[in-house]
Amino acid sequence: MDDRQFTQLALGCQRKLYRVALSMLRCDADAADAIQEAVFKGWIYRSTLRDGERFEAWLTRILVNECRNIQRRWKKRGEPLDESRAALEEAPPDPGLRDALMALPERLRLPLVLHYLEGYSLREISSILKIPQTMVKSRLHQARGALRRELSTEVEL
Amino acid sequence: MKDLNGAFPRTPEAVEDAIHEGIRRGRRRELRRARLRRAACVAAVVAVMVGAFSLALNRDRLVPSIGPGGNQLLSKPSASASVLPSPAPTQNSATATPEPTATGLPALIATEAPLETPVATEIYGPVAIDESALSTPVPSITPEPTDASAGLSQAMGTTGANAYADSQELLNMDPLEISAYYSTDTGDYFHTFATCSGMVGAQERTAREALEMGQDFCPVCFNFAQYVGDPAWSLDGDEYYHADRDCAGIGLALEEIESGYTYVYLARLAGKLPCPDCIFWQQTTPAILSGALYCTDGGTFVHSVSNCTGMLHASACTLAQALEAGKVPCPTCIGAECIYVNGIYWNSATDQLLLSVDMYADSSAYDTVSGGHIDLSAMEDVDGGLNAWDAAVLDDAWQSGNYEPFRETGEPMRVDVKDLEVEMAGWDCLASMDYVDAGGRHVRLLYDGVTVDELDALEFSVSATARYYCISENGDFVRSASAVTAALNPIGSDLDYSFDNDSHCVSFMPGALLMDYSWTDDWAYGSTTVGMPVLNEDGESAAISAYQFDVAGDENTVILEVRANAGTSFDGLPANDACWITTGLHAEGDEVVYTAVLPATLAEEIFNDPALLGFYLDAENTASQAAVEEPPADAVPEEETAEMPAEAATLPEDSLTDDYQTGMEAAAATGM
Repeated sequence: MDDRQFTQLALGCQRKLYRVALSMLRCDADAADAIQEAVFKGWIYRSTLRDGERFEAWLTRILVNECRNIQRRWKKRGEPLDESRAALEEAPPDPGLRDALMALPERLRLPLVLHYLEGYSLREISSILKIPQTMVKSRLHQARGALRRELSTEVEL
Repeated sequence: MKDLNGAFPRTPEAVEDAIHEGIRRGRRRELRRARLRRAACVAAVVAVMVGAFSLALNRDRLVPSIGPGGNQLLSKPSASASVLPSPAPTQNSATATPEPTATGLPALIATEAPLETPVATEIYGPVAIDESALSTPVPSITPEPTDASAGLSQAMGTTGANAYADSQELLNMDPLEISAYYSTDTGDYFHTFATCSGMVGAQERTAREALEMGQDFCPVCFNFAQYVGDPAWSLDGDEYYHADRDCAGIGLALEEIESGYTYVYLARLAGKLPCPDCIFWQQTTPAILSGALYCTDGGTFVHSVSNCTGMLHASACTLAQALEAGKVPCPTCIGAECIYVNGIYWNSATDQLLLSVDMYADSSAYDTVSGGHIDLSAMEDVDGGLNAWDAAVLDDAWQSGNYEPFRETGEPMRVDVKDLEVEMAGWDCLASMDYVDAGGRHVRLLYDGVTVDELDALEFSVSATARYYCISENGDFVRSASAVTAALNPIGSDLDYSFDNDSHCVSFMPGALLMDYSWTDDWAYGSTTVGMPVLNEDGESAAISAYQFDVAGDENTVILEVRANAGTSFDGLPANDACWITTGLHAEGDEVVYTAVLPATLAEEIFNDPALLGFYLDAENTASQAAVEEPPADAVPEEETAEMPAEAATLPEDSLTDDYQTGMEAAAATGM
């Protein structure tokens, strides 16, 4: 993969990367940091990516790892991991849905975002999150239920 | 129905910026790596010169060679610091001969001294960059070899002369022609890499060509004078070299830009100092030191000058002593976080001790600056730095030319020894360097207070935990060896050093070290093995093993290996065009090894009918194998089983392709 291709692909999936990072970190600035680090690492190791079609999933996997690294650093420093970190430059179109989504624990929220928003298959999510497909399925089921309860109305996904 | 997208705001611009910044960081890192590689090349040149001069001046003081290939030790030193170079620093001799000599080697001639005289100040005189000693301009090295330097070359012998000539040739090159740069036809700047700032369509050209096109140095990618391989600015006769061509100390006029262009290492070799105004200390790394070092008992720093900033009662010390005492380089007289002392690269900031690329290092030596050191240049280059067996494998693979990946990439196979653990028995080395570069792995152990005799008697153990065979640069390993340990005498005959025609130590042969490995599939990605014992008609035993060849997703390729006792005879592979690489027989310890890379189908045939190689299944061993495995009775057709013992059925026809794991277990059960 040449430099230009990498840049184009990375820019092409910036929305995806942002949503995944925000789902995990809740803060625009932290999300941007994670994305920068993920792109940096992706650039360094781009020659290891054999299948260019899997670029997005591959970069998302790196991003998830990077977000976890950031969360680990928070934990180490004793910083809160909850809603108090939330810092968005711009309000989302549907704040209620955003609150409901963010109220879900991360282990449920992330599969939900990856599957329903980003369109990754169960297999890809399993690879990205390094968990079995059955667990992905189960978490999606739980996430739907939890989100439904949070919204107090039926949500069709 | 809710749209989950509504839970997220628009993507802020910071995200796009972050992506661009991530890519920029990646590019910068690649650039830094490229520079480091370049700096390593330059360091090698410096090392050549240091080695050449060292050899020349000490040739008449060498004790008889120890070890094969002429591992030579300098005259017997004493462990005591008191006999190390006297506090009289190098600059005294340099000052004593302020006029440039015809040879360009002032210190060399001026300091010809008797044996007992400390040698550190004189051995490396010509290339010593003792910064404080050079507070006054030092004569540049004369580019053209003179009669005197010819005499020197003669004294050095062919090797030294060649190395000297090589370094002189480099010094004589036009700095504007040394490196290749990149620019477009219409660009304003030329660059150190082809995609700087998103540039496309760049062409390779020298600095001279670019300057002639009216292009200037790119302000983004040219960081002058940071490493020894970086460009710098300095005019003839200048005391300093500069990072900034507009520095007040140089202020180059437009017409002087070309003549002032040079490289840090050229400036340093010419005795120039970094400009105090435009070069920060950290940009001067490494400081190249070749004289004695000095320190006081309670001092923080180690100095290159005995009376640095009025220091009193300093005593000469070795680098080893300085390291042991926890000293750091003096910011005044050394002025760098890294120093390079006789081939040893010490980064005090990171507390790392590295071996610079040292093309001309004796494998083991004792010198008064570094202390005793042992340098095991295990595999300095792919062509000549391998042990005999490895070299034969690579050579055959390369020459066969039938294997497409080699032809496509033009890259030879790489063989690396990983995780080489070195432990001393009897003596504690003060520091050890374990350095891997493109040429292979280097290990250097540093001692202090060890006499030549003691050094000769040293023994240590080397443990190679894995050996990889790698087909291409992308790291596809095809086989590996498990850990083995061997006790070795580094200077004695245990390690069989080999030297090339220029007496460069190109390898030591760890044959004894690695002969006892057993193959496993622990490290080979996706690779599995299957093996079985066989006998030939004379009752000689051997083991046939196959390893799945996991390169470029080619699962149908197998490495076949036959290991037998020396003297065992067998027919070899049947002539077959599909056999891509054959290595023939190679001695490895007491065994001979026959290796071939071939299609899995052919390996399968051989496993089903070892008679193709002149072998038959070993009834005794395969019986135990059969007890473990109990394969189906109909696994092998009748006509085949008729020609070989019934136990042949223990390896069914598809064992190589479908049942590697079973084969592995069977092999393990039979002790392979």
